[in-house]
Parts: sequence; C-alpha cells; structure tokens
Amino acid sequence: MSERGPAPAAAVPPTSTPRPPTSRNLAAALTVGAAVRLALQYAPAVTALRTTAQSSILTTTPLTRWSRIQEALYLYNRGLPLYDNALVHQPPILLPLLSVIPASMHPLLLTVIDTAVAAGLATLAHRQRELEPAAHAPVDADEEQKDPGAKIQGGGVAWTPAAVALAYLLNPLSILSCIAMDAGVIERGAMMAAAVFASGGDSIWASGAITVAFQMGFYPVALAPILALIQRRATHLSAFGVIPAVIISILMWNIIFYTFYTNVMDLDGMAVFKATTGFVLSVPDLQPNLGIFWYLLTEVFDHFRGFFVMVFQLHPFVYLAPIIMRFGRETPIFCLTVYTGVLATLKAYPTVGDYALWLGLLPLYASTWKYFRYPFITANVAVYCAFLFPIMHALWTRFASGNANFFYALTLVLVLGATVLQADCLHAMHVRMHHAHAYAVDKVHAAEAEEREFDEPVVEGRATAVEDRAERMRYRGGKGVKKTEDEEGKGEVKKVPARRVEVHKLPTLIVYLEE
Amino acid sequence: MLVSVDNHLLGHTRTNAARPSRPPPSHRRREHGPTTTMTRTIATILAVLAVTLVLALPSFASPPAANATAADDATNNWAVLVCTSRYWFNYRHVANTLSMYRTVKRLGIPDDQILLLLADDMACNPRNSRPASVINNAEDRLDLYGDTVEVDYRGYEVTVENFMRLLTDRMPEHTPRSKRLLTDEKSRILVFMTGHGGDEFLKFQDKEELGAQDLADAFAQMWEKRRYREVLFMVDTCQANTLYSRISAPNVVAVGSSAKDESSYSHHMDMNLGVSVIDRFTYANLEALESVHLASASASSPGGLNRTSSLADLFATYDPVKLASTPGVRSDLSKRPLESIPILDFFGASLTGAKVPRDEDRVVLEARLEVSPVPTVEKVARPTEEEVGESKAPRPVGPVKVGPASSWRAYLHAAALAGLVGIMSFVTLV
Repeated sequence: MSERGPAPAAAVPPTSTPRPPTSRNLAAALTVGAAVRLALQYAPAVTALRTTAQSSILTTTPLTRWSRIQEALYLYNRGLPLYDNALVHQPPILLPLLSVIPASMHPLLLTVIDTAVAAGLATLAHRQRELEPAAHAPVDADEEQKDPGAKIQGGGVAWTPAAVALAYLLNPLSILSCIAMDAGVIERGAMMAAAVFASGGDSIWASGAITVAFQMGFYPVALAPILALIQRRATHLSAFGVIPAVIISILMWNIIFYTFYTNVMDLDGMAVFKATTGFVLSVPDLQPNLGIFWYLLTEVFDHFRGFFVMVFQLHPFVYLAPIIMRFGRETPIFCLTVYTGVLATLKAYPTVGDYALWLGLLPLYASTWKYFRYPFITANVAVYCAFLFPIMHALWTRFASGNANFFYALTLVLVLGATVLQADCLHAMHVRMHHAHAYAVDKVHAAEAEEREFDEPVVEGRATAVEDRAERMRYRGGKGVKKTEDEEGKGEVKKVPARRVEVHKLPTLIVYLEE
Repeated sequence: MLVSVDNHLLGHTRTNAARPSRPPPSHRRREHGPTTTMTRTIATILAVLAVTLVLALPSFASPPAANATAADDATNNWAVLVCTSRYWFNYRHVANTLSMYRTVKRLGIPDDQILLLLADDMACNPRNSRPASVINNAEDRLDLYGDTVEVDYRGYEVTVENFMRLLTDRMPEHTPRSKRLLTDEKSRILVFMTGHGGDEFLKFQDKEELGAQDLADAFAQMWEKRRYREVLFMVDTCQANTLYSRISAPNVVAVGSSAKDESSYSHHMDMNLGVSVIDRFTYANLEALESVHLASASASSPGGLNRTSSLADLFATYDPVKLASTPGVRSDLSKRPLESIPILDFFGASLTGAKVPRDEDRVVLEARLEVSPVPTVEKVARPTEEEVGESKAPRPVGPVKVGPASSWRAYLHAAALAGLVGIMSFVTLV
C-alpha cells in the first residue's frame, strides 16, 4: 500500500512548480566546480593532462570525441557533406551553436553545461522532497522527530542540494570528462534538462531535451517512460496516457529535428540517421572502451554478429519494465537514478562521465545507504578500477607487456561492481520503503488502538499500552516485535501481522500481494 | 473518527484502502485556466504541423540543390600496373611500369590504390651498375625506384593466377589489403600491362601466358560483381591490340601499342647499363603526360596536353612513324566518347562530383594553386615559374573546391533553431 503514494486529499498547500534552490551555498558550489574546470581547461601548466584526457579511450569514445566534432564543424562551415566520412557521429543540431561560438570558448561552453548539470541535480534534489514523499517517509520515531528540512541524511552527511551539486562537480570522473571535451557532457546536460523539465511538469521541453540526448547517443530514449512518470508526479495527471504521450512527443520532436535537417540544413536525413543512431545500434567501431561490447564483438563470428548485437542492445531496455513497475509510481526519480547506472554499464560506448552522472544522482537517496548490503565490495571495485584501468591500458598499448585481456578483465570487474551497486540501490530502497510503510502502519495502529482504548475493551492478546508499543518499535530493525513479559503469559496472543516479519526474508511479491 | 494523521500516512489506513488514488481536481494542478488537457494536446499537434510546414517550405520553394552529388559518377581511382617480364634484359618493362607508377602517383592516386606488380627486381640486380635505382631515360638521372616505391607483388608472385585473382578479388580471406584490388562500383581503374606478348596472349615470367579470353572473362566478372565503373586498359607489348580484342564488358577503353603481326619496339638504350631503358609506346605516353600537371590548366606547349585534356587528345599524340607500330584504341564499349573522358579520370584521382572543365566552360582558376611536389622531368617545356608564382597560400586543388570557412550558414541555422524554440515556447504557454 505504500506504493499507492501520498493521499489524494493532500493537506499540503498547493504550490506552483517548485522553484530551483537559489541559496548562496548552491551558488558557491557551482562557482567552485566551474572554477576547477576552467582552471584545468585553460591553464597552460596542465596541458599534458588535457592532451591525455582528450585522447584517452576511457574518457572519450568514437561517438563523442571532440576531434570528430571539430571535423564536423570544418565540413559544416564549408558546406561539405557531413556524414560521407566514417568519423562524425553526432547530430547536426549541435553544429550551428558550436559554430557561432568561437573554438577557444568551447571548453567554457562545456564547463557551463557541466555546471548546469550540477544545478539540475540540485534542483532534482530539492524537488524530490515534495515529489517523492514515499522515499523520505520516516522509518522510525527518530527520523520522524527530526526536522529534515531540505537535507537528506545519509552516509553521515546532510545532503543539501548544494552538497549534491558539489559532490558531482568535484567528482574526478566528471572533471576528467569535462576536460577531455567529451560530447557526452552535452548529452548528459540534455538528459538532466529533460529530468528537470519533467519534474517541473513541462512535458514538451522534457521530450525535446531527451530527443537531443537521444540523437546524440541512442540510449537516453530509455528514460522516456521514467520522465513521463516524473512529470506525472509533478502534475498529478492520470497515469494512463502519460507514457504514450511522452513517446509521441519524442516522435514529434524527432520529426521536427529531421525536417530541420533535411530542409533548412540541406542534409540527407537517412545519412544523418545512419551516422548517429545507426552507428550506436550497429556498433561498427570496436575501439576499446569502458564497456563490454568491443571485446565480445571482436571475437564473434560474422554470421552471429547480428544476433549478438541485437541481444546486447536489447539488454539495457530489459530492466526498464521491472524497475518502473516496482518503483515508478512512487519514486520515479529513483528509477531515473538507477537507470542512469544501468545505461552507463550496458551502453555501447560508455565513458567515465556516464558513471559520474550516476554517482551524482546517488546522493538523492542517501537515506537508503544504510541498507546497502555490499558497500565494501562496491567501494573496493571502484578503487581497483580507478587505479587499474589506466595501468592496464598502458601495459597493453604502451609497454606491450600485457594484452587486451588485462584491460578487458577490468571492464568485466567494473560491470560487476556497478551491477552489484545497482542491485544494492534497488534493494536498499525496497527495504527502506518497506520499513517506512511498516512504521506508518504501526503508527496508525497505535493511534487507533489509543483511540479505541477509551471506547472498547482491549481485545485479548492485543496491544499493550501504546507506550510499550512505541518503545518496541525502536528496536524493530527488521525483526518481529518481541513479546514483553506481560504478554508471555497471555494465552491466545494475537500474533503481529505478517508484515512485521524480518524484512530480508520477504520477497518483493508478497509485499505486493498483501496490499 | 480517526485522529488526524499526517497526510502521507493516510494511504495506509484501512478506511482509505479501498479508495483509488486520484488527485483532487483543484489542488496541485498547474494553473491553466479554462484550457484542458485536450485543448493543449490539440494545440500542440497543430503547432507541430505548423512548424513542420514552415521548415518544409524551403524545399517547396527552391529547386533541388545543384551541388547534389551525381549518384552515378566515380569516386575513387585505382591503378593496376603489371610488368610480366623477368631477367635483366627486360629492364625496359620494369622501367615502363615504374614510369606509369610515378605518373599516376604524381597525378594523385594514393599508393593504397595502386597495385604494382613487378616480375623481377631490376634495382637490386647484380648487373645493375646503378644499384637501387631504375631509370627510364639515358640522359636524365631521374630515379624511378626511389625511397617511396611500394611494390605489392614482386618476383615470382606475379603470376597469371594472382593477376586474375586480383582482378576478380577471389582471394583467400587472410590476403592483406595491399595485395587486393578493393574497388567498388564507383571506381575507375587504369590497368597497364607490359612485357612480351603475341597474338592474343601475354607472357608471364617466361613460364605461362595470359590469354585474351581470360582477360575478357576477368573484366566480365568484374562488371558482374560491380567492381568498376570504368576501366582504361593499356598494353605495351608486341601485337598488343590483339589482347583486348575479346573484351566484352561495358565501360572499358582499351589501348594497345601495336597491331597483329607487329612488334612494339624499345626506344633507346643506356650505354652504361647496357640495356634498353624504355619502350616507344610508353615513352610516347610519358612524353604527353609529363606536361600534365594538377597545378596548371593551361597548355604547356602549343598542342600539348594539360589537366583538362581528354583521352582523345592523348591518343592523338601517338605517331605510328615514331612508334614504328600501329597503336590501336578500342572505345566501342565505353559509354562516353573519348573526347569527353578527361585524362585525369584514369591517371589521376577523382573526387566526388569531379567535373574537369572542358573547353567551353573552362574556368580561369585563381592563382592560388599548389605546385606539384614531385620533381618533374625537364624533357618537356613546363609552365614557367612566373605563371604559378602568384600562388601564395598552398591550397589543395582538385575538382572539388574547398572554399573558405563561412559562418553565414551557422548563423542562419542558429536563427532558425531560435525560431523553433520560440514557437515551442509559445505552445507551452498555451
């Protein structure tokens, strides 16, 4: 029943679309992040770092490398065909703006976009408190008495929106991605813009932004249903028509963009599609990267290649339905968080920036971190991968004393660790919601019992004094409430309802069925 | 009856358990006023149609862009240069082939797309008094072998079987790319063969023969497999005209150095080497082609060739008296008349949409042209330095003119995008 969400007859005063937080902390965080990036992008002292990052396969891919966008700009400015080569894989929608902005200011543009991503994260963090009460429902009396304000407590840190933004901005993965001039920065900017628009209730701009992200790399289209659900929570429209409406909106935006390409920009629409979406779908370029596609596809026999590519591309979309069914109604921003991680792990050409965005979204649900089962494993995997990826790549390519398998093994380890973390996130949110639900039920039972105490005789075996119950709720920790000595002697002690059974043993389905 | 509990716990109460979760009609809806969702949907669809119509207008108004790529024009050039003779006294055949190699490389065909087959190694022959070099003219000291020659098939690899496999691409899977003719249906191929030949055959390696019918079959297969757009087949052997007599595949222009029962002769001998260094037919071709430069559009000498000359012009320079044989041309299979096939279509590299200007629309090119980087032979009078001296900035010259960067396109498209954003904002305000 907790999935049914907050009551229709909400006593919350009707507010307009929540404004993004404009606190000084947030401004300071954004400034610090932007300053770090600008310093690293323009300072002559770190030119070697920039050069390494811009050509590293960990931070850039054939899809997103900036040198290819420069090639596209060169061709675009001279009216030459953009997609006759096998280099350019970004959509032409970027080119007018990048052409108007001088090339020396392109790093500044990427910094601005990255900072906007951080601001979007802060906005999501702020809006999430109103949009997803189920994720913040108190799990015990301690939490309820605390006034959380705008903070999300988790990991020992109070995650204000400014803290969320700062965590993303100071994440070395996102800094590296920005310095490497990766077009994925723009893609992630579009994804975050779509999420922010959706959480504000704007379906048209949300689908427009996600269409830009979809044209840049194909996978953001999987976020469309999640954005629909976020928008639904923001505007409380009925669930029936929202997901098809968003899909139709995305189709509409694609039609608009492709009409723009073919008529205003004089391009061949089919060539654009084949070079952008077709490239990501057919994975012809097997340069090593953080993902798991390249090694498997180099080995596969040609007559099986189509089948394998199809299965690999189907894989990221398989998890969409279950996650939405479980968490979509109550906590669609959590679905977005988890799915960003799923996409980062399972896409064809991932970079460290994709993981940076996912890690940036995790603090939104810091209150679930205490229910993680494998934090040690995931933290270690993160550290191993961070150190060993460059080392193994250098061993393979520079020193010729290793081979591709060293590097490939690390991609497997990374996927394993990331998957464990994603499963942990899902489990932790499930447990938390379950605890919150159980706590709320207990509260209501206690309230009713307190009321009934004065009207009816106490049913045999039922609750002792309200205070006892309240006290025992503190020690729940997933186990059933132990009977006090008073109750021991009573005969037909009415057992506590099944939902108090130890949570870790409860499969999810039972939680559903009992509603 | 119930104590008032927090709103987000109301869903857990048993009394509310049966009530479906629906939002109240008044709260938390965006303040749209009288418009409903249906109206917004219709307005959105209409706006989309309007936007699409506006964006599609330019295509109704203007004719299709004139600079569209001609879909059936060739886009890449290949050359297959074969010397089939072995032994030191056949030095001139290797010199023939290397001279053609140098010419096509000078005129733009990249090494990746030149397949050079030399049956013997003259440069490192122990009888070569100029080790590691091959010359084609006794007077000048132009070294054809040089440092940048790339021989793809050498020595005993030049066999009839390999040549046929090369043409038809029936190669084992692991054959390296440098040994394959990776042409497609938009390729123009120059096939130049030299050696000893006879009536409808060409001798390979003093051991085997390539027959005219085999050659014709190879071209037919290539056509069936769409491996070329046009072929120029040039043969410099005795009785060369008989070798192309059986070709039936379309789009093949064939040139031979001598007719049936005629021999082709060598041109001159180098006294230091002790062998003939060039054949007359190839010498005639080189004499004409040496005046062709990518950089110059004007004739180097009256009646000479330049980059705009056609194959007909080239064949017209053959003098049967000087050649001591009757060269033959076969153009019945070609869809284009020889007058309208530019030399650079086969001897140079063509780019997309290549249209070398002909006489009637000859363009006076600006002087910003690039001088050919390969040192040219001083045999024929070249355009003097003053004519090409005005070139300041070296710019690549070719059939496609790469203009300077102009940002009007970017501003136009950016403005269009801004207009699009404006229209959609208007829609969202509805």
